[in-house]
Amino acid sequence: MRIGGIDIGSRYIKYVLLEDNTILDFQRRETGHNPLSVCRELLEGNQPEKIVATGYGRYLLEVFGDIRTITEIKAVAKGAKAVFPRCRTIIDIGGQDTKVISLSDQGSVVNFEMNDRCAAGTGRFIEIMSGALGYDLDHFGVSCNNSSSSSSIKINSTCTVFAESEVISLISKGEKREVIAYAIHDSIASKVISMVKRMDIQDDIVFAGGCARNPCLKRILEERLKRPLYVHENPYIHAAYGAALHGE
Amino acid sequence: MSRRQILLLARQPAKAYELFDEMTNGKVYVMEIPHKKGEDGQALWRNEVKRFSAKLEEISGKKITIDKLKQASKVVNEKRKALQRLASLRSADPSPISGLDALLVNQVAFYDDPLRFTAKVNELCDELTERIKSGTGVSEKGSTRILISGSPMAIPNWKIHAIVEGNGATIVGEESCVGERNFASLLDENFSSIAEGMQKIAGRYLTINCACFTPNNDRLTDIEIIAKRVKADGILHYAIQFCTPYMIEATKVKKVADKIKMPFLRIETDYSMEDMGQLKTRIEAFLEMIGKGVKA
Repeated sequence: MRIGGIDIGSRYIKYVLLEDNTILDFQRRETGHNPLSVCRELLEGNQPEKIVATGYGRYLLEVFGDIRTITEIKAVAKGAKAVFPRCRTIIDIGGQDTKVISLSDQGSVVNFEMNDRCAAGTGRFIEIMSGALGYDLDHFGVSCNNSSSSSSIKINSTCTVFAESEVISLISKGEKREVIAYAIHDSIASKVISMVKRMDIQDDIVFAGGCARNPCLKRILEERLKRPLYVHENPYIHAAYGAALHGE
Repeated sequence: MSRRQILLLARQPAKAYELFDEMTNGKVYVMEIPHKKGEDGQALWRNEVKRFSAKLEEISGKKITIDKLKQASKVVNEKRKALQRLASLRSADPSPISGLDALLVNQVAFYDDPLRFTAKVNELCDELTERIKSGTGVSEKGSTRILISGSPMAIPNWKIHAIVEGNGATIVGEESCVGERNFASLLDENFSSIAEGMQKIAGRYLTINCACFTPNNDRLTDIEIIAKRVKADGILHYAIQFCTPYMIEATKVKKVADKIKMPFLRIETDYSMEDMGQLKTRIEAFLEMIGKGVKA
């Protein structure tokens, strides 16, 4: 049976088509202003027998009939466990949410922390900050990966709007953009670490979500946690994959 | 007493009351609440209650007599007993009443005429007793049962109950000032003078385990007892913005939940609807984590 897992996130929609535990297809598209039409495009000509939806927009697909939904927390847990069988903790930084999830050794969710209402320290924050510093998003984390925490500047505000003002005032003081970029990564890492500290986390730790592609963020988190983070070659895939697995 | 003449406000944000007082042309009466329940705190509160009773006499133009005080004490105790009865009926599985309806009853308790209210709640409880006998409930037997713990939810705050129950779980209790803490302790009606009565009234307030007091470890014991009584599957700790004592005490409640191996979720929110998406995700994930099945 072909099962589709669709993860309707705030920034991207991810789609996994699964047959007999094998991933036949993976797609990722910008969510945009009309996510339902994006979902239709993804499913067109590729209609699976069963669909499980997850992510922020999981209820959108109700118009297609009886579609099962699970939260992205459970979906990411399933997807990460399937890829990394020794996974006990997941740090997932998505477009507008950051989550830290603890798994039992069987892989079920036993605890989680998730940021409150604002997009502080999430993927959207990185996007805006890289824009403010004139970086292409893919190069943002590379640009400052050689910097270190000895840098004297610190971004104190995690509110995206306030932090942007802080960045602008640092630029106008003549600070090097690599240094500011590092400080931004450091502030996001601090936010994640404060969530991790509220939990009793265990190895292995999987870093999931689009932000896991950022080498500087990964390095700072590893330094602060004093443990390695495991990142899949396609860190966007976990929730959609987990949703598809849930349909089996 | 005319409700238009007085607003009694006795909580943390006292500075706001100065502004409310100006806005209402001097109709706000502020009582100072102690932060500790020791000898000094008790004396402070006794005096506050005494001054307040004088204020009530002044506004109403009526004298408090021992007979009237005894009668009123009975009326309010009966109200508390009716609310206790409602709370105990929610321990049945399946619960005969939704958490949202029960919350509304608890919210109305602060506004309604006490005699009418008590009679109606007892009528409701009779009906709920029948429902329990016939095994009728608001959800299927064995569905997920959640205890809310934390800040009071005043009308029209139904946000958390609506999300939890919209996902097929049932809220079976509120360890809150709009809930258990409002009715858990009765007033000792056994007094023979007004002064003694006032002392007992003041004393009863100090049996309330609200996070505005320090230390407040008895609240933790209460949570353990209530969670067991209502057969909760999980504790959802709720703190409303600016109700900082509860935000902070959540850390201690989590430790209790860990000790009794009960799933725990901490929510901080306000009256607005802007965080409904995130709240839904967190609450649904919490119910998934409890794992007794969620309505998809």
